[in-house]
Formats: sequence, C-alpha cells, structure tokens
Amino acid sequence: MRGQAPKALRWKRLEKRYKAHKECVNGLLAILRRHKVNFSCVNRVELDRQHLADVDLLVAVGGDGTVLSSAHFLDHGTIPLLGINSDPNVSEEDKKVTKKKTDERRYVANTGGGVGCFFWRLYISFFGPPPYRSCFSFSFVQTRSHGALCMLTSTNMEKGLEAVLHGEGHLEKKTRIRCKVKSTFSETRLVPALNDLLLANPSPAAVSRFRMGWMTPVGTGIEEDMKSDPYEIDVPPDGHVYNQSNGTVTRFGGIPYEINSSLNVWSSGMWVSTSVGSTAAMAAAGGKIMDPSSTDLQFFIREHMIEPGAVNDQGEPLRHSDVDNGMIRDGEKMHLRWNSQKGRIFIDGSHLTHNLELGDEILIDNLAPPLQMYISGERAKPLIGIK
Amino acid sequence: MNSSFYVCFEMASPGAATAAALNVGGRALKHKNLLLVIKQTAFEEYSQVREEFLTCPFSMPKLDAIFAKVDALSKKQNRDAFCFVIHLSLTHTPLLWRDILRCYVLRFVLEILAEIAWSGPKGTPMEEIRKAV
Repeated sequence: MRGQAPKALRWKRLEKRYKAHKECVNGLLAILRRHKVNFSCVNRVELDRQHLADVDLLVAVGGDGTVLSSAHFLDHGTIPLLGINSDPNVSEEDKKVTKKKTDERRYVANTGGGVGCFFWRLYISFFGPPPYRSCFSFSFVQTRSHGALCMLTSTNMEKGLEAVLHGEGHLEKKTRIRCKVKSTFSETRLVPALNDLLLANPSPAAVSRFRMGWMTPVGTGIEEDMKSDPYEIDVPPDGHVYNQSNGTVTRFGGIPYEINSSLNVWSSGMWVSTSVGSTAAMAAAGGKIMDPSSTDLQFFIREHMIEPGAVNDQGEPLRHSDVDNGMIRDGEKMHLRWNSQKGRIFIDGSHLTHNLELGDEILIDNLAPPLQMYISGERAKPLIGIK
Repeated sequence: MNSSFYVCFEMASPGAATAAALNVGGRALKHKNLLLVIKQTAFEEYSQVREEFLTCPFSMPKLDAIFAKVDALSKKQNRDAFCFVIHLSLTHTPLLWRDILRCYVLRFVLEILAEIAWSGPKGTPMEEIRKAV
C-alpha cells in the first residue's frame, strides 16, 4: 500500500460526513430549545467530571465511540446516558460492502495534475513505481459508526427524544466490567468498561504471558459485605476470622482471596467483554454473542498456545474448547498475574489504556456500577457476517 | 390553557410543577438539565490545522508549532503525520506515506514552502532554512 492515499483523508467524504453530523447537532439543539430544556454542550475531547454537576441526562451525539467515552465519566452510574447516532447508514448503498473495479488512488495518480502530480512524480523518481499487487481493492463503504449503543439516530430523534425527555424511553441498567490492577506499591481501579477490555502485550507480535485463575474470598460473609459498596473499598468485616487457605493467597482492597484453578497462558492476550460488547470485537475474535440482558462477562484467550501434553486439574489433556472461551458469572472474580515484561489493558477501544508490568495482579468481575442507558428495541445487532 | 395542561399540573409533584418542569405540550419533563457530548469530526480537526497551515506566515517557529499540532493530531487519529502534512498543502495529492518517506519528502516540502514564503523581498538565505529544517 506504500505510496497510496489513506482513504480516511479524502477530503470530500470527510466534509460530507461533517455536514451530516452538523445537521444532526443543529436539529437536536432546535428540538431541545422547542422543549425548553436546559442544556449545555461540550466537545467529546473536552469532557470533564466538572461538566456533570447537576446534569440529569447525558446525551452523546456522534457514534458508539462517543457513547463509550462519555460512559467512562459516568462511573457511579447515577446519570442516565442517551446515545444519538449523528451519521447513520441510511441508504442501501451505505450498508453494502462492495468490491471496486478500479483503484481510485491509481486513477488520481494518473489523472491528477498540478502540484499534487508533481509530488507523485517526485515519489516515483525517488522510489520507482509503487508495488501495485492488484488493480482491485475492496472498499468497505460502511465506515460510519455501527451505532449499536445509540438509541436514536438523526432520522428518528425528533419523536424519540421527546419520549426520553418525558421519561417514556426504555432505560436499562447495563453491566460493566470492574477491573483493578495491583502493582508493587499501588492498587488502581480502572474506569468501568461498557464494551470490553483487551489485556495484551503492547506489541501485537509479542507473546502475552499470564497466569489466569479464579478468586474466592478466604472466609465467609465477605461477598455480602462487598456488595454494600462494591466499587469504592472492599471493606473486610470487623473482627472476621478468615479460614485457612491451601492455595495461593492474594489481597485486593485488604481482603484476602484464595486463587483456584489457575492456568499458565501463553497467547496474544485476552478479551473480556460484557453482553453489550459481545457483538463487537469479542464476536469478531470468535467469542459468543450474549443475551443483551445478561450480567455475565465473557472472556476469550487470543491465539492460545497450549503445549503438547498439558493437562488440567483432573489430569485430562487441555483443549482449546475447554479453556479459551468462558464466562465470568455473577459473584465470580477472575485473577490474572501478568508474567510478561510489558503489558497493556485497553479499555473500550484503543484510546484509554493502562500499562502493566511484570508481576502486576489484575482482578476482573462484573461489580462496576451498572450504566443506566436508553436502549432501542433493536439494540446491539450483530455486525455483518457474524452469526 | 387546554385540559391536558391542567391534568399534568395536578399530577406533577409540587416541586416539579413549575414552568420549567412543564413543556409546551403540557407534560412534565423527567430530564431538565442535559449535557450534550458532541463528537468533533476529523474534518473539523483537520480544517482547523489546515487553516492555520495555509494562513501561516511561514516563520520557522510557527511552522514548528503547527507541525507539533499536526503530529499530535495524527497520533490521535492513528495516521501518519506526514500524510496529513502533505494533505494539508495539497488537497487532491496522491498521498505518500510511511516513515521511510517522511524524512525525505517532509524536508523537501518544508524547503519548498520556505522557499515560496521567503523568496519575497526579504529573501532569507536558503541555507538557514535548510539548517532549521
């Protein structure tokens, strides 16, 4: 692809999409003014917690990315979130995946003139003709947001917004992923993830090594106590005498946990998703699409390298189907010990990350405060080609 | 006032039964204070920098500042800064990319731009610009 234009930089297309987005925003403002609602606007990149004071509804106008990044600020789950897809795929042409008969970039290169052509000639004189392997290129027209997390679109927001403003919308609590990382001197609570987490080596070519297990509190009654304030501090019950444990014990929030059924994993990392996120990267990676109302989490080990002769606790041969893909159910806690020199946790995409070091311990469960979200009837449809 | 307004007024709680709580349709609003989080499209981001680039008086510090922005922006967008620089100056250019080209052509572009900008009456020597680039 050397020497060819990145498609996303095609100015006319960007301009067209900008105009569609702008039109949606202007339409939305007009609707809100008509309903005499107090509102303020903030750019997605400038959103801060101080903007959330006295707000009783957050409206994310854009696509799924805007919804996800807005959701990261709603970590207590008290403010409901409404997503509006500002530039949906409305025409049949938008929804198609087509195979182009000619390469536009080659066409531009051959027919363009002026200074642009001068630079092209300069390139060719430096490096020779680009290595076109084929005159054909696939064009994925659907570059717009899927909008799975958006209840409304620019085409139906008039009625939908009116209903939401009057409390008639379908408000659902969506499970989110709680993730804590314990390093040598600190314990970090990551922002709750609405879609998924990817735990992997920062280099996609490098092996991610970790030990995966399940945590059970040492002693009884601790789980109940944690439920009282699951996201702030895991407070141990006063004067509780913990049972003796036989395996490895670790502590999160001062509470001791025994780690069971642990397994050493060499892989390309691991996906963990909610039911909402199970239709996205998880499905593309080979995971299952979950019932949208499920509160379970799903994990999927990517490119798991199982050594020949490896056996499970029962002495049976370890099989991919047994260990690679599974659920983190209510009350279960997954434990990872990161055994690579470097690692990274990607939260709901590539923008928000947390770095891992050798020896970091990670707790993953579904106890993050759920997000209150307005959902449409046909929510979270699977992507094209995924059954 | 129509009847629906009265019905709604009576059913609303005392705190909510204010003018602000009732909209033109006469129904009580559940959500009264909204925060709109609006996506900034790539076009807007590019346009801002493009504008600066095209109206820049081509002093080296200003160019540096703009390229720093370009770099930050392209990192955010996961695209090569170099492509973007070329794109800014030449809207329909077949874009060249990859790091291997960056050092060659970015220099060349800067030199051309500098030459255009500085070949006026002031006439800064090209050697100085080359050093700066």
